[in-house]
Amino acid sequence: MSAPTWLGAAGRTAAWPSWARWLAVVALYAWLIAGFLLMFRGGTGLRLLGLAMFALGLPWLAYSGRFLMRERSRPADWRYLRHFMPAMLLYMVVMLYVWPLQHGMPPGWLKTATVLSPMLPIVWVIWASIRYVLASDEMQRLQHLEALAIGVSVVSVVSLALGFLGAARIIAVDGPLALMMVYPAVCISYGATRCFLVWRARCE
Amino acid sequence: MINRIRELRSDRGWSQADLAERLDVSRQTVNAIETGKYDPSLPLAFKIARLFSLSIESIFEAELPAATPMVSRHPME
Repeated sequence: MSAPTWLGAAGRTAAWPSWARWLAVVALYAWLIAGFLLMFRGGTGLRLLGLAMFALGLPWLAYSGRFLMRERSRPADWRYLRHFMPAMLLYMVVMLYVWPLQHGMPPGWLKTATVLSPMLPIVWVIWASIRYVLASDEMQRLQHLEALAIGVSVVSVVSLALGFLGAARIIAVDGPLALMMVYPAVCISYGATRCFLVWRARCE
Repeated sequence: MINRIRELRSDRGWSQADLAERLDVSRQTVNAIETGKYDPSLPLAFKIARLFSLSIESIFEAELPAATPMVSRHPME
């Protein structure tokens, strides 16, 4: 499958120096964070603006790793993008407009379904991620495995430590919030570890 | 393991990205193999050999073990 035309410009960045690439990725993250803040802290118009900013930044977010590594996109990359983008957008829309509806609802199946509605795009993202890892080449799979092992170990150690502190009432741990933070924490620690492994492979 | 992939690739005027595309792996993997940081699996080694129309042993070579002390030989030997 050929690259979508809206990302055709990415192919013309092959000659960009490293500092320009890093600058572009930092600008992208600033753009996404600004969009995220507008979505959750702005009024209705600003929310929509934030959502639009987030939607525009998402494809570039998924592309940023290959952009930094000067990698050509493979069909598996485009497939991941095709699933990751709508799933993340759906997640944002659900969190902004569907999940808050549960506040006034009486207990029952409708409330349970509304509360669990964000799980649909999350499972979609996880499914896309699994397919992406399975489509990686052999060295990348090894990196995924190492990054996952280290990332999960870090999260396990931190969550155990927080659990012990909470059980002894030294700190107050919000149970549901702590559980919800497990997946993002694993994603962040895994992502950071993988970045380090890729960087180390280039520098050794 | 040492290999001649960089040399073979350069002879054909291919970039790392070109070779990666032909082997269906990432450029990062090609770079790691060329620099000896990663040894490819047997299926990938066969794929590389087929691509260059050479045998595996003419591309890959086991690194010699660390220098062993020279055994003094008899001058008449």
